[in-house]
Amino acid sequence: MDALLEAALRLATPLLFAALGELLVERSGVVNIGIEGLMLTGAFAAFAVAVTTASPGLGVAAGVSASVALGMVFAWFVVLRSADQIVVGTAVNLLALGATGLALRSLFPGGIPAAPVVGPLEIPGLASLPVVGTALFGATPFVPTSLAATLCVALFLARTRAGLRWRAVGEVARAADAEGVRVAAVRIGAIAVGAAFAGIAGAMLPLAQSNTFSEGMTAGRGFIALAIVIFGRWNAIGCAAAALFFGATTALQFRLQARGLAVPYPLALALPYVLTLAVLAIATGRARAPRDLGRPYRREAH
Amino acid sequence: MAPGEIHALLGENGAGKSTLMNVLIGLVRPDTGSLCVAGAEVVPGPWSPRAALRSGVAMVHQHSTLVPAMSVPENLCFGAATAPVWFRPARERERVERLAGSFGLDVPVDARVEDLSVGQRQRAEILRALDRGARVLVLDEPTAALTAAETRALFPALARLRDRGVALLFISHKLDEIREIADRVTVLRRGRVEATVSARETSATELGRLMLGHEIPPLARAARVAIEGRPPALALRDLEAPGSREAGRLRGLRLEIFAGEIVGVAGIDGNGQRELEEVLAGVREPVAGEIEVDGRRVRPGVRSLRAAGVAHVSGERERGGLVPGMSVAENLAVKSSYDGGRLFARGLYRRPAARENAIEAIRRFGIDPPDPDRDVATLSGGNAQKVAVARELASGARVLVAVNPTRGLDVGSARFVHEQILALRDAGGAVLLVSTELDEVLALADRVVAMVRGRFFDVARDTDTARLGAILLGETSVGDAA
Repeated sequence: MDALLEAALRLATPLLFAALGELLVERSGVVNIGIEGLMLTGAFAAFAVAVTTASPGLGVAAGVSASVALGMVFAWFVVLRSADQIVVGTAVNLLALGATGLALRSLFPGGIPAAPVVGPLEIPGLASLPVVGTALFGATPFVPTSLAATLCVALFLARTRAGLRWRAVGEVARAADAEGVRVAAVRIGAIAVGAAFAGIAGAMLPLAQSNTFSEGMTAGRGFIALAIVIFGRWNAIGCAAAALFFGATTALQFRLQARGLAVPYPLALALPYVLTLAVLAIATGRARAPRDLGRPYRREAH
Repeated sequence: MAPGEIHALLGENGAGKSTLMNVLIGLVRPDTGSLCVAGAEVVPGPWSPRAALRSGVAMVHQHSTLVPAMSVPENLCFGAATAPVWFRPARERERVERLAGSFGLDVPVDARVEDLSVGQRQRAEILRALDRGARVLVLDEPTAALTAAETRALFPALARLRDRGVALLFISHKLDEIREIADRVTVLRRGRVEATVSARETSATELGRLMLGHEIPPLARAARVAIEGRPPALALRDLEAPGSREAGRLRGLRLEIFAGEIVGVAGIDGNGQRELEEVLAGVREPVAGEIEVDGRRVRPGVRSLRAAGVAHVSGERERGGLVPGMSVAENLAVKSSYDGGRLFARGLYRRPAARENAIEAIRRFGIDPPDPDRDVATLSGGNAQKVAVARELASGARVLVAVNPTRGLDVGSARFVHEQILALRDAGGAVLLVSTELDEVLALADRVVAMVRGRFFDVARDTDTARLGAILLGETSVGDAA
């Protein structure tokens, strides 16, 4: 049981970071489907810097910076140029996939090295707590951080003036503008913070899970994060629950395979997706997206 | 404008009221000229919504600009420069309640704005402006969406604000209201100030003349010409349909309208008008009863009603079917695709023919600007409504369902729509006029029925406004159900 919980949390954590980032962006009215590309960029930059400097900490910082930098390109197009968010997001994904593949081969022509890994947080006592001890504190610091980040995001959206502004911009940008809120600044800020979260999610993959980088290693996690935001009904706690659900079904699926059940492995691999789809189909009845989600805002007299 | 003044702004659709408002609240920067607020010249200078709020100018919009998914306290906090960094729900609720109490504008503080009534939203919006320290309040047609009772409650609240030194710019098309609440009236025509007069010393006729540049002649109205020998042009037989709310459920409507007459349905919003409109437009499925046109039963659907010759004009132009983003010519052509019309050849849109058709409609209905390729979203309300009327009447329909057809229109445009309705009747058409404006119903209709909680009640032709109002409010019992 402990091991299953530990695996579920470990698998859920990158999804949760990415989903929290996407949640913040979407609450400000922007859909960033380029989150997959941001994660991949973050993963690669984190890997490359960690390998070169032998410091996983610097790697994480590099992953976040690279993701934010690419996020700002996205922001320039969709906020300042009012470009279509889906088109630009797709371009970001394609760009990231091509650029990281190319950079991987030119930086490491002799083969892909192993990355220095982020070790577990060794806080005396905490890891020996019953049930959740190992799962939360025996793993990398990413795990407890992601749960703390969930609370911070929830608190930010519900209990701070800035959070109210983000939500107002996402719901009715025109009303927010008339109230003196700088719509473009809020959205650019949201994209930057969202990209930072995606960068952390990406950096985790080579530094805390695979210990190396491979082309396209995000493998659709960014898209899962998009679904988690919907599944989690655009709130942070919901996203955490949805990410955990997905993590748990994935862990379960690995278990099933390890037990050698007579199920063809592609079917086992599909299990988390099928279960998520099933729950989505049953549970999305009352979900409501921010009203101005995906709509570029231009000020004009009407 | 002086502090502690209610100043009315009057003008036709397209006279420049919206532009002036947008300048005042910083959404439009004027090219030249100056603007002073409380003695300080703010234009020329950096002028934006933020700057306008800072200098104490705030607007109460016709359509609520509160964020529907948020509560009133949340709405008040997100834009306030003085709001604390941390939002504490309990403290903010209490603060809003105190503020509301001090101005006599009570609003629920827990519910989301989307669950509030129109009147409550408006009070919340005024409260937000006051919370920002507004000294100049721009009210854009504040009574347009209110019920009579809500309007009666609003006026004392506005007077209290005036007495506390707030300057109110009150924009309205309703001349009676202006004379009741305003101190002075400024009339705009074609982007210029026509005159500023004292509200109490002017008359509705005088204001109408200033607005239009000429007198409004009384509405010419021929005697009723209904032909009862033939089957009714439109008949509702025990029509029942579910309502958006319980009061709006249609409970066995029975009505016959003959060629050459206008039947007016008077009622307060929410008593089934919307449901009736939707059934007759074919977008709400009745659960019982029948609709007959010229004695023949018609299946209740958009295409079948349209094919039977039922046209539909709505005061809510988004629902009445104009498509913003499409041109005048395209909008005029859209519905004709069901008629096997001349504007489509084997499913292909014949653009030259559609433009010809639009140019003709523009000429006949006086649509301004006279440009068939113009996006209808950029037309003023009155001209957009003319496009809707033109489209409905151009099809040669003999039955017209008009629901609040002049809502939000200025005097000149409203007059035009009324004339078209009368012209259709005089040409032997049948009109079902559903309106929440009693004066409109009484001025146009040959017969009047009252709609109360989804039922029709016959009303004598000589009933005056006061008695009709009492019937609609359920304060007076009426005779038998129609």
